[in-house]
Amino acid sequence: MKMGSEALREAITAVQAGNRAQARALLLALLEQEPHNEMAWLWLSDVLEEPKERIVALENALAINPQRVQTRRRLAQVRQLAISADGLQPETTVGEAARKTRTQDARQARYLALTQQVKQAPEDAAAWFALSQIVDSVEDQIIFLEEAVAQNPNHRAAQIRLTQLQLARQDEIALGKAYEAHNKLTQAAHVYRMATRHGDSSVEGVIAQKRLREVKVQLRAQHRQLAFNPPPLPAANHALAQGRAAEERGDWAQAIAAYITALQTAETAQTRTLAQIRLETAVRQQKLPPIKLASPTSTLWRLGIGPALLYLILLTLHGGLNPLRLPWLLLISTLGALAGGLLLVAVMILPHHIVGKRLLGTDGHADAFTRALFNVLGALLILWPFSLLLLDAVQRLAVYTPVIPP
Amino acid sequence: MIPLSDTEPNRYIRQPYMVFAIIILNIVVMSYEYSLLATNEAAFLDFVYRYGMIPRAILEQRGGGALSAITQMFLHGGMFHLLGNMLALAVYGRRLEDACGPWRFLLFYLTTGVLAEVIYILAQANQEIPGIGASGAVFGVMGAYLILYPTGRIRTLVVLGFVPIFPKIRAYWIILYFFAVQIIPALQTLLNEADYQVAHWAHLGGFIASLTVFFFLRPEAFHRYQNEMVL
Repeated sequence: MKMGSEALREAITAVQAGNRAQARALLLALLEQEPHNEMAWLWLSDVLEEPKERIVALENALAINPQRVQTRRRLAQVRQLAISADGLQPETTVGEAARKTRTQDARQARYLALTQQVKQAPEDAAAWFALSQIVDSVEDQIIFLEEAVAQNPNHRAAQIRLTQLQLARQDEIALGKAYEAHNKLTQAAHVYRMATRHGDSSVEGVIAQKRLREVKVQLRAQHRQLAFNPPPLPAANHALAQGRAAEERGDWAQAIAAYITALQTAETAQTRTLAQIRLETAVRQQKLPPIKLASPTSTLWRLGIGPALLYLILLTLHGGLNPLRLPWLLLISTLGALAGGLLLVAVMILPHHIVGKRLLGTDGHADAFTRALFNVLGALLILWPFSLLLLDAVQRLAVYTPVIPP
Repeated sequence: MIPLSDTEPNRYIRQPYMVFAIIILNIVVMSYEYSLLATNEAAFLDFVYRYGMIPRAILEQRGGGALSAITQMFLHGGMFHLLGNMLALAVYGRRLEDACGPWRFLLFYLTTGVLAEVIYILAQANQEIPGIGASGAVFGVMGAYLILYPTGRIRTLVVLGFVPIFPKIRAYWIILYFFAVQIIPALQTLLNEADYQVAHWAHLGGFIASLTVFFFLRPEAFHRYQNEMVL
């Protein structure tokens, strides 16, 4: 015969493996032997299908340990579930029952009206807030309030109520399940993750881990689905995307037509505003002359030629307006000034030009030492011809005697 | 009409350090000239004739040649000569250095200076008196300013009778005025060999040389100019 703890561990493993029937059988066998095993009752309440049976299991667990708040809360939830699912009514007088039925009918009608409203206008924060006020489940309230705040971050009442509920809430698993019910899997995963951190060894921790695994599987499936079959864009968004693509090509007429379509088909105020702004910008842009861009090669020559230009003019003056009278070394040094200028521009200003890439590597980003080396080399190539010219000028000046008139 | 300051802001740099450096160098050289003049007039004249630019000496390949072409830009004939040139350099050079960057601005300044001298030599080849002053380069800076910022507003001192006023005047009015007043004396010098003691041809040469500014504009400024955007 198995020991109680061993049987319980086996049952938990079965629950985690998704084998609920086996877990149920194991737990029932265990409880026959150990009817005062609180953990077994709790686990059983999780694997039972019928709400009434779950209520019994939870009541037994609570009878064994009345201090466990989570059991009490879970019991209240299951009872609520049983009332809404099976019409299980608590004991009331006939008059009370009739009044409650009328109230519930009114609430149900309002609930349906509000759900219809938020379906048609998801940006209606007031409707989300009203919805949060008529649902009983704290978790549902949190979800609706979150929607209200998301749609209108300045909704003060929703913010305050949401904060209050979040502070008071303790049952993270219930919130996670509510998120799941509303297909908010990312939020559900987050809540389950928090629950696993809070209670690693407890029943809640184990349940949270299991739920987290299942939610992760669903999320992965959802991502795969989205990756292979992306949802179709609304017509307005599609038109906006077309407009942007046309702008990229510089086809302003096409862009304007696309934005007009977006404006006409926009379903939300946000999209309409965006389409309006893009349209106005495109109309303004269309009136402007097309942007002219200088090619990197022309920039390289334009800026690289400067030192050589100055050197050539100085050379012309030095040679009495005929530079060919000068030594060939001075003449040929012009190439040094030109090479130095081009090198400095390529390294410092145009590292992504083909010349810069050749010098600095394919991505145009060399290490600091290599860059410094090329900078120094460029500066030396420029200074070398000027130094030769200066030397020649100083030699000439040394033998020059100015003729100063009296 | 004396331009006092450019009222438009810089776009790329905070301060025109190269303009400041050039002005300081000119003041230092001027101080040295004054000290020479105070102690030994002959030494002062020797200094000016050696480092000033004499067209005839240049053509006959006498003297410093390329060196004196540079050094003459930092010599001045008096306090008002220096003050006038440096004031214009400070007013128009700031935004030009902004558009070029300090080192390319220096290259442009020197290039326009020496190119203005080439034109001066061509116009007054027989001149034996040394030409000194930053005027050629400063007129080059003014010309470049006219090309890049024709509608820039310049705070200007204008004296109406005895009343000084300080209006903001569009750059093209002021610079074209300074260009216009060079033309007749320059023609008189060329055609009638009139002697004004002022190198008007160097000034005009500076204006012509200012076209080289496109070799020195930083890529962003060149892009803005090319697309007729405000520099």
